[in-house]
Amino acid sequence: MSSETDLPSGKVWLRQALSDLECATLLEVRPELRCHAVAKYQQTLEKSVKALAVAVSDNTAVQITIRFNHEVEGYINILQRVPLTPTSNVPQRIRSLFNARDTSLLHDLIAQAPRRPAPGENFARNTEYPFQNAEGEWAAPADADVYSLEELRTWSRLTTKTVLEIERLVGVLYRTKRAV
Amino acid sequence: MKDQPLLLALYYATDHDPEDIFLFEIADKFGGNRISEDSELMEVTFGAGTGLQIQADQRLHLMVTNPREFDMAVQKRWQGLQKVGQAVRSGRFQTLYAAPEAGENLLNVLRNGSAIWQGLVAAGAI
Repeated sequence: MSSETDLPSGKVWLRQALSDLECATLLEVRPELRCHAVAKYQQTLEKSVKALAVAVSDNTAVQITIRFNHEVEGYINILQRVPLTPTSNVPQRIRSLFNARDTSLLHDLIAQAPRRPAPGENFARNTEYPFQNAEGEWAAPADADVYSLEELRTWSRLTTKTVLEIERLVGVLYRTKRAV
Repeated sequence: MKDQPLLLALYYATDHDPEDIFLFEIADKFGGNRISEDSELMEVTFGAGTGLQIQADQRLHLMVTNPREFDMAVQKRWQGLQKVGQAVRSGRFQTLYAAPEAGENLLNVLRNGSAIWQGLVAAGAI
């Protein structure tokens, strides 16, 4: 039996998030694979946010239910609303992590996951499925210049910063109860 | 914790909040053994009512780092480490755990680093 099977579940989510991040950094060096790199950054963000939600649930009075779907924004909204308290700085640290400016950029990344358009709307740019560009023509996410280098670098920087901060928060949260 | 083995754990006192519990830990692989880009040690604060076995008016202040980051924090005199250093310098600490050799070495680094700080403070450099 692997010694890793008794890891707290928040740490298991985080382990996968870090693997997704490593995959993203390998993919982004090839322009024709940018759409896949963006998809991996989105998955990195999703799993790291869930890791934090689980860690908060496991180690504080706040309870968050984790579902096996690709919903991310809901968890960020919940984490941003963990009640401030004079006895703990954890909610403040989480709000600082998901500040307005960074969260706006993260929402842009989250929006790259494929979704069915509303009736009458075009299929929007996404990382996996054919979509309709501004002229209404069908394009593939892997087509040249669908994702710019600037966009990729922004999401890379922000996702890396977010997941590494979450890694530290998760690590310290799981040490807390054991400390006393 | 198997994935982040504890190397050193100190219980220390500060000049403020004497009723609170201050813990400092160095754990291998904490934060992936990465160094904070903000030059900031990770510290969380918890009060009673969060499942911790502490008094109602107490708070737990838990500061955690890894060996690489600790080394950088000592070299660069990160602010967060200074209160731990002051406690070690003044003897207001208790070693809760020190891993054989590794933990003891880290404690010596903290002691020596504290001595350097003391010299710098005395010289008016900081």
